[in-house]
Amino acid sequence: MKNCFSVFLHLHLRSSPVAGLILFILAFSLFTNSALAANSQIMPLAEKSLLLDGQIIGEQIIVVGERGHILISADHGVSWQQQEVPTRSTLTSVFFIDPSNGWVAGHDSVILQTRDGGRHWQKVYADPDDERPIFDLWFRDMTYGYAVGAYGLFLATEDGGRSWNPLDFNPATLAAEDAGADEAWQEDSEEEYSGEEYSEEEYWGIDFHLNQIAVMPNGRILVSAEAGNLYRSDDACRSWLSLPSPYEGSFYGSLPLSQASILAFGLRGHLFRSEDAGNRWSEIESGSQATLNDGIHLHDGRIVLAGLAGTLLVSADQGHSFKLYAQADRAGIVKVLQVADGALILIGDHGVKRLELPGKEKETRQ
Amino acid sequence: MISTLLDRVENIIFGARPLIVATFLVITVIMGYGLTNLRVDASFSKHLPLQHEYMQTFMEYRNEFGGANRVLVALRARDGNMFTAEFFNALRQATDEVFFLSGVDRARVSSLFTPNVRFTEVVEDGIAGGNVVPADFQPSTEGLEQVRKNILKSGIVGRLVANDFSAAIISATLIEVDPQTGEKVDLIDVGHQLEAIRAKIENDQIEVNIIGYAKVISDIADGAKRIVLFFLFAFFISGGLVYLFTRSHRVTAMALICSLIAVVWQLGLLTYLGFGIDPMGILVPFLIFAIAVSHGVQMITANRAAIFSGDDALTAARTSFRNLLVPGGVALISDTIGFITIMLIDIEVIQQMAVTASLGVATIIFTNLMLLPILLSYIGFPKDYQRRLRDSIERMDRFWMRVSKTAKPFPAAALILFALVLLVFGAMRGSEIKIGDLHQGVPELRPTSRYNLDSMAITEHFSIGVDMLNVIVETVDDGCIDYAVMENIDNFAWQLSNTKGVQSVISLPGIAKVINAGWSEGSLKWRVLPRNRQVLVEAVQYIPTSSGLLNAKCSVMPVMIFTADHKAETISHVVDTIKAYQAENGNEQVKFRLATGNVGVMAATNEEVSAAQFPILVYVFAAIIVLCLLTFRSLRATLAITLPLGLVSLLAYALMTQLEIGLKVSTLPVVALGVGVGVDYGIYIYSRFQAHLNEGMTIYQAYHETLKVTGSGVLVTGITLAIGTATWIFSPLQFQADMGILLTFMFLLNMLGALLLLPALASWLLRLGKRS
Repeated sequence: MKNCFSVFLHLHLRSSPVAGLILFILAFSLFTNSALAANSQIMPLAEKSLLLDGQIIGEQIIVVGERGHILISADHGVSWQQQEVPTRSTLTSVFFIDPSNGWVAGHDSVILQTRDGGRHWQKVYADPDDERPIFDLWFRDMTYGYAVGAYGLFLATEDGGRSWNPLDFNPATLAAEDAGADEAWQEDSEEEYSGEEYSEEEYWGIDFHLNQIAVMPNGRILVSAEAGNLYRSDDACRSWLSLPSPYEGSFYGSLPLSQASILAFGLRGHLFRSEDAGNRWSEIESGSQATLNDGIHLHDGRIVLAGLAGTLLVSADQGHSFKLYAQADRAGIVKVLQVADGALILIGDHGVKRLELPGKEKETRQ
Repeated sequence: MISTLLDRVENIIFGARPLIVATFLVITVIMGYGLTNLRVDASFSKHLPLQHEYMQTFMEYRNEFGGANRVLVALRARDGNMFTAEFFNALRQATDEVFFLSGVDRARVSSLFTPNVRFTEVVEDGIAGGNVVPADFQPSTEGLEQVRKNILKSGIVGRLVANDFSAAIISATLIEVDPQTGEKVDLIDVGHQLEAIRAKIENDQIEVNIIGYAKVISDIADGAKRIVLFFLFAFFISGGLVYLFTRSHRVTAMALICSLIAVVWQLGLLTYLGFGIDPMGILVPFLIFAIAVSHGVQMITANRAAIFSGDDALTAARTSFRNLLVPGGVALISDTIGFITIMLIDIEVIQQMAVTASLGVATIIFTNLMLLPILLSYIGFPKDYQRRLRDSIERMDRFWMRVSKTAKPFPAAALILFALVLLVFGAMRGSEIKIGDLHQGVPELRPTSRYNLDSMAITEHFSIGVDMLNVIVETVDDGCIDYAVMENIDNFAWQLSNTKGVQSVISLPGIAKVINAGWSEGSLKWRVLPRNRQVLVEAVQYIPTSSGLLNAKCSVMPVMIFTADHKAETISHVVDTIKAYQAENGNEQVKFRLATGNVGVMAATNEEVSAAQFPILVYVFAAIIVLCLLTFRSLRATLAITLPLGLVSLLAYALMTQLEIGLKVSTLPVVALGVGVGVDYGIYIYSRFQAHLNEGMTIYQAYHETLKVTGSGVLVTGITLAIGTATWIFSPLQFQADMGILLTFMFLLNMLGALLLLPALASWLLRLGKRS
């Protein structure tokens, strides 16, 4: 369901410079001793805390999560070392361009940068007053990078992350697509907050949560978003296209399978497949009702999707059909990685844990 | 001067024998009448150290967050699968039974079958939900499958449904006052009703586990009733021993009657003082009886010696009264002081115990030092009584001859050396003693008791902790929608989660974060505390105050900390962490106050015990030393009497370390009691020993003569007391068993100390004294 209240509030504040000013003043009094300013605390349970993203780069795995937690493993996820980080804000994404250079981002629009493989971090950007968390990060190279987040937040850097500016995000088929989505959304808000209204004029563009950035082998960029929205850029983020949506619920991610094939997944176990880079979609029965958050290709060619309630979906046929493996702990999974020794690294509600998935042979025989 | 005073007292008392007997009769009838009003009083607050800082927090918030008085009834399918028609029918029946229990807050009963247990799920256009068990539920395969799905969506796994789907819980909260009757809810009765539910539901397919404070109290009360059996057993054993010793059933009967009178007075006084009998204090009458018998034995011994030397009954009674009034009185006064020092523990139940026990001991002065000799004076002894006595005394004499040798220099030195070795051992092991409870489960009950097994079964299958410490966080009004406040509490909860010994922490910010994510399709990336006040309102406003996590004004937010166990080390480490956090992060707006919850009570109690343990010993020994100095006017006598007591006390500590018995409310008084009673032996022995020395005997002769008369009495006494308290070892209540072991140990060792070590020490002290 949509965060209707926050949406309303957010719009409302945006439209009122006075409210913005109040918030600005409040920010100084409120945030002086807050999560933003404080350093992360090294804690034994950090690897069991809420962790939200991870990446394997070179010989190490980096995961990030709540309270400014950044953990690094150099032994395929068996043991983890928490790093000192200049924030306690919840970190939702990590992106390393090479084993030394990486960025993390999260709530309070905080963005940190490292040049030494994650040992030391500098804060390069933060904007807590904006109240829009960043959900995903992607760098094309050492210079150009992008951050997406809630309520259409889309930031770009052209100087390797030193400075960030809003990107002009106006997907081409916006008018047609948005009208439909907007109507549905308005019905929603009438149900829940019938007293509250906002006028159509105040609507200022893309306001959906942008949940994930995925890159196709041919360089096309996909953004999965709230309320059934999927966007694609074929020219390195300069212009965007709103793809025809097969679903009105939120998409939490997409997994490019080839130059043209894509899996898109999201709320309530909904899973779709496109063979033409997202112009037409067909639904795949996932067998799960849990939100799907992430997907990866395994070394043996299988595909794994992961989601809430400990959901793991495994496909041995290039994503045409999936088999459900529910984790007994039912802890939500946000991100899944595969390390060199074949084990999966599950990142989420439970923190981070290794999982030895049954082999491909064994599975096909089943 | 003392002797003329004694003469006068003796003449007055023996001059008015019928009047005194009549007076005793009247008082006993009055006390006996009081006895009929005796009630079992198991109030909770009596067990709390109310003056302690933590308990003041506890009392301040007990009404607001009193939800601690919860009862959990768990039904478990023995084959591990709860999804059967039988199980669900039983669960429905049990839910109804619990619902209609008297004293249950019906709005807060929750199980799969109550309408307050719902599931919610995120759907495309919002949140959908319903009862986990739908109104039209049928226990068919489809119905059960639907319920299984709903359970998964509801997030009650671990709380109301076992993690492995083998069991389900019915949770109920008890209220203080029954709204129907207007009377205080009788927890013992609730416990019995729960037991009745178990009897009804449990069968070869379903096991029923019940936990909750009401059940603990009622189990303790039931266990305490067993004490009547122990009392009877101890009564007959003591009777048998006394008979073997006196060879006269009339004398035996007199001794037992006088001792029983002391118990009747003690219990009568209890009711007239307005106290009820508490499971903890139920041992007091027992102890009074044992002490009374032991003084009775001393009186009989003295009487017997007089009869043996040819006195008639009246003269013998007068002589024994005269000889024992001072040492017996001093001994009983030191017992009384021993009991009174226990009052240093600032816990009502212990203080009541101290008052009633010291009153009880004081009554023994009247019943066994006064009434008993008067009654003995009426007994006409049969002609062959002297001969029977002589036989038994001569048989014992050979034994005492051998024992007397310990007063000779060499054996005495060897004995003292051995005592020194024991002293070193005792000091080493004794200093390792732990404070608090060292084992899992409810410490009052046996680890193998049904309750503790139930508790283990529930914690094993559910994510429920039974050891809880609540930190009360006091903030400003509407503190729960103030980001800075909530962030501070959240940080506190996280610090505590990372503290050794903490299993899990539940806090309002933690729940608010989950709800905040819930408003955003359950996305984990939204699981944060919103900085925006209005958004924070959305995240907390649906959390009911019945969760125990906030009050109506949102100014007080308890943080629930579940600990891995309740060992004193664990507790003190957690408590220190909390104090350090408060010192560092507490401020005008946010104050972290210790503590409620069972572990909070334990923390306070442990601190109280640890603060009281040293002063109690100091006062007991100081009192004994002063009394000995006054009575014997001799430093040597005082040393000879107190040194063995000190050694035995140390050894008792070592024994506690060895048996993993912690120093706690129930065991702390034991050392004081043991010392108080143990000093009796020393005083009786030394007073006769001194009398013989004054008659001009050698140390060896004086010792031998002392052993022949007083020694026999001490031996019988020690064994009587030890057997009496040893029966407690078989109590279903752990604390009674612990007390039983320790008291038995102390009585026996104090007896040996007085019989062997005291003379050895005395012989050397006297010899050294002469030389210098």
